[in-house]
Amino acid sequence: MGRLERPKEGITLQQDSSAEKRLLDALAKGDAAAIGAIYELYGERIFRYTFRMLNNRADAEDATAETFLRVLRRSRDLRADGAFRTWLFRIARNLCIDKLRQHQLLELPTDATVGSGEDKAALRIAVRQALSDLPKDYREPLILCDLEDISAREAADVLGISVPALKSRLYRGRRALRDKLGSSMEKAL
Amino acid sequence: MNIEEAKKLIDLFLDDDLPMELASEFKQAMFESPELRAEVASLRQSREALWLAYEGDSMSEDERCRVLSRIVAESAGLRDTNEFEVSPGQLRLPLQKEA
Repeated sequence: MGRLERPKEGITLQQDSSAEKRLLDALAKGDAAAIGAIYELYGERIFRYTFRMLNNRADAEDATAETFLRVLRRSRDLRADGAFRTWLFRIARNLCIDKLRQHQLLELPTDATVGSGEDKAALRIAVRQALSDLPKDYREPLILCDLEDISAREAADVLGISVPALKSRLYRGRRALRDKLGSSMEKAL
Repeated sequence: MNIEEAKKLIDLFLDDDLPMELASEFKQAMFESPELRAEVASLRQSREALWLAYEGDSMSEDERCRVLSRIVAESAGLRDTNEFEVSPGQLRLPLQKEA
């Protein structure tokens, strides 16, 4: 099997830091139109993150909208100090945790869509189920670092833990996921 | 680098976080140890499986517009309650992708 390249998704903070700063300044000064542009910058990433946390598109859509509304409600407190994205993900995470508590979504079947090929479709479902079955302490670092491609420092900030703790959970999570998947990977990859 | 030392560095290797010299030593250790090779390969496979399982999770155009509509509508509500100052017409639905 050849080594896959990491899929590139979304935007990076570095690419958009100056645009982000302008938008946050505008929003803090009362320019509500800026929230639309901030949504345009980060909406896709927040949706993907919430979908990966919740495994349900409707709930992810709701959490995404609420994330940006919370930004808007607290816009007077905004500072364009480089920590905005961390704050945004933290809001989204808290909303996801609330939803998971409210609906016990972990017990529900996932929204996994079937891709091309039976083995790949089966793998897709198996991976999503395996990730959902992992303890939250392992699942969250995997979603942030290995799926969202967020740095260990930033992921640690989102989760409110130290970088060594984040890395420990991430590394254990990778092994736990690998062990859960077992042979279903070999058939499909 | 012996195998036990190398095992502690697997994740740094997978993340391309090892300095070049250590990465070379790690690769040499992998070459010499089938056990280490298997461990790296299985972790790499499960990460690739994770990417494959979640690729294509983008928002649909409908979802994108619904979320934006809600933000716009609720922003107007905030404006009406003076929680947020905004002039009329400031918020639009401008984010339709160009054809």
